[in-house]
Amino acid sequence: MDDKHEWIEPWLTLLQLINVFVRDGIGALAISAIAHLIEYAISMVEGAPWVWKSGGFELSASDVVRYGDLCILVAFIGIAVYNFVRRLAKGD
Amino acid sequence: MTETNPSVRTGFGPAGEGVLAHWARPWAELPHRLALFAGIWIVGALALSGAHVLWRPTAPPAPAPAIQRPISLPTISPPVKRAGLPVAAVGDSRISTASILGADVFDRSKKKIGTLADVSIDTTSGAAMAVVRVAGALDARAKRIAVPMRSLAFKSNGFKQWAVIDLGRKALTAYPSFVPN
Repeated sequence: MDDKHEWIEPWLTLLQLINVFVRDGIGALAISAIAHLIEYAISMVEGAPWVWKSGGFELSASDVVRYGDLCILVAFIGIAVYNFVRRLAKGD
Repeated sequence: MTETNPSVRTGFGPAGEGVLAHWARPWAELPHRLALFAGIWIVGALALSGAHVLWRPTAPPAPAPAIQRPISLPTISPPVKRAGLPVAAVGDSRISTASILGADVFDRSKKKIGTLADVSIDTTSGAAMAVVRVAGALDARAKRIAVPMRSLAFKSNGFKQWAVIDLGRKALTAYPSFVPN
């Protein structure tokens, strides 16, 4: 990019950060939506709430989905913070 | 080989090309991100579910609720019918709890001591208890006394029955009902 367009560089960096944030958000939501669809399909077949019971414990399908969503949310926030901090460290 | 000028290719010029490149670059990695998040979801869900199974065992089943005693008003001692007075007993189909509330209650000397305020069930014995609101009692605790229903009789709603309660004793005692002269 030539010198007369240097002003646009910080804005491009910001745009890319936002872009990455949106992309990761859509990706995380897509995975979560797929998981919820699978849970819904299981509940349609097995009856809701589907609970796995054995020995001295029980685990429901909604518990598993909730734990997966929790992990993916933490990962999404972590990745967003990491991207932001990395850009700051680069001085972009 | 001649390289195509970006400004010629898109018409946005060099700055526009930069914007487009910045915009498009992250989205090219979308499939990888989907795979990454799917992996994180599966591994995290399995790990946390395993922790759930290990650390949150099923709570013991709740104890069955205690069997409730059937609540019914027991009949009082068989009423004595004298001198043509209409007599009815608690439990009689002609009399209900509501109809005896407010009935006069008398002591052994046939002096009115109060009115019937409530009927309750003693949870330990299952016996019906009559709560008598004592008229003019100075001691607040004596304003409402409980006596076994089976030994009570009432004068109310045209039914001539009499409760005989010995208030002279500390321990309240109820005596079999009788019809006064």
